[in-house]
Amino acid sequence: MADGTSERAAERPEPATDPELLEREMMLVDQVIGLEARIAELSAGTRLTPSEQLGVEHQIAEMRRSVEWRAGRLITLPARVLRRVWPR
Amino acid sequence: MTPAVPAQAPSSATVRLAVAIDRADASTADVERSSASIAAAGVEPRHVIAHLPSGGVPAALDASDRTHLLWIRAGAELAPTAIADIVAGLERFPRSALVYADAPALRRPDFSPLLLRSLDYLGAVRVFDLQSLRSVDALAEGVGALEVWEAGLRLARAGAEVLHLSEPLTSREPRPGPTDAASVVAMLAGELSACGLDAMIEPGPGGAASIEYHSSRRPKVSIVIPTRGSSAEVWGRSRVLVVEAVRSVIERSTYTEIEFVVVADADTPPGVLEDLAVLAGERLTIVPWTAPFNFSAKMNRGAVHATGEYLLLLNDDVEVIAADWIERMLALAVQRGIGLVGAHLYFEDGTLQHAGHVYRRGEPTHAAIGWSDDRSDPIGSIRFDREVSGATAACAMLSAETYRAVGGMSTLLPGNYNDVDLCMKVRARGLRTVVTPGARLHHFESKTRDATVTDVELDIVRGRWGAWLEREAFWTGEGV
Repeated sequence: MADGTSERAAERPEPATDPELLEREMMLVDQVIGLEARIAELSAGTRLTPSEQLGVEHQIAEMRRSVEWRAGRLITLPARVLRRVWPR
Repeated sequence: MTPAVPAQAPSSATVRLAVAIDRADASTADVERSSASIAAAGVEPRHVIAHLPSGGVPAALDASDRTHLLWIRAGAELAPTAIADIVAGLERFPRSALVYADAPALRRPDFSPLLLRSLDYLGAVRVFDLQSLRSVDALAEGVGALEVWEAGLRLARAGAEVLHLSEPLTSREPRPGPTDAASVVAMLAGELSACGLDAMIEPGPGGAASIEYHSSRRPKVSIVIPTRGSSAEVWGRSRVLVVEAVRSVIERSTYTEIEFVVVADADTPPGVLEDLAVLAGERLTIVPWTAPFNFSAKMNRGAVHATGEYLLLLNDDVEVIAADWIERMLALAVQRGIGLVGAHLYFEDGTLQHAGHVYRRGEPTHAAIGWSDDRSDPIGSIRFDREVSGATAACAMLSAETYRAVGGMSTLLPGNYNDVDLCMKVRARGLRTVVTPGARLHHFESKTRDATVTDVELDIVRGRWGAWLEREAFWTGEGV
């Protein structure tokens, strides 16, 4: 066909119908989705919705206001000072 | 002395607020309280619509330079930083058509279109983008609580973006006043009709409404049950779990377009398979499983042998309680934007075992575990169909097409978190996971079950979806 439609259709693999092939196909799809998800996790961009971004920032702000966080900062203060004074 | 409130609201080139006070049946004192807080937050009096006409958003706003409408229920007090928080949120996420926030000491779920149909949980202060309001023809008739609820539903139907602020916009929020049940039902009926949905609406307390959706279609549902034919003691008597599960589905369910696909381990007692054949007859397909244990792979094997348009993933240690459980799940599963539907599951003692997943600080767990039916979360969402972060595959429905498109359950997760992963894959496809309290089953899993969770499984799930597992988006009950 002149427009190449039939060639493109021929290139596209037929969906599997054999149960064994379907299982393998699903396993591969899962692994591709999993790898894409891992890349998205590691990349700089966020997958969070705006509400989630604000929510996580709120959680972090709350944590930094907490007594536990402040106490931890106080306890680790000498170590943090030393690390700055004594460069590696 | 430093003033406690800003003398003037933060100015913004892109966000210019008009403020509408919903007086409803509020007392003069309530209106004055709200007005004072608005003034203290720095809103210029000329931008406050103090005397709302009986009609909707005044036409004068069309010609004004205002971009957004801040709606406040009389009696609520704006927090001193409210305007700054709103402006900051809208400048950062300018596509937001609606903004709402938590209240002091009350967390609200992230935007949940399904829950919003039953429960107007968005609070006493909301900010609408005026252009978006006009595009869905909302608030044209009035700006009372009902119209504002309807505006949220219309924006949800249009797929508008909604921003939930975690910082409360109020320092005080009164409970909503009484709502006329007939008006609520009429408004919801109109909205559901516009969505092309058939449903029975039952008004409830506090202006909420239980909605029972009906699907005009009756597609075949394949119930996929992995099993090894084991027995256990339930209510003091020994039972073969899978046989009793199938028996309860057949004897108690009102939906008949079903088939059973039982994926049975090689060591399943032959008598169990015979009992299943007697019970389910031609509707039963037994698929043998000879490989080492892998729950996900067993479920996938069942799925590829299923012929139904929808799959109902089911554990073998369940028993049906609500006769219309399949109809209730199906009527949600067929709705646009919904990818997976979960159920309310109960322990042997009648307390809740599952009402949705909760994901917090990378740890997946269950909402409302061990709760009795009369206990509720702070906003009362547990009584209604609603969005959840995830749902257990002990009882979950999704289309066979979606199941295959996401690669089924991950065989890398043979025992645990495969349902968490499945829900996340469904989400990654842009679909929502919901649960319905209308689908009720017993799940005879021990409250003290020591599921052997391997670090590897948790690492895999966190590696894929760590960011989505940090903060619980929907459940606002205990422990969140």
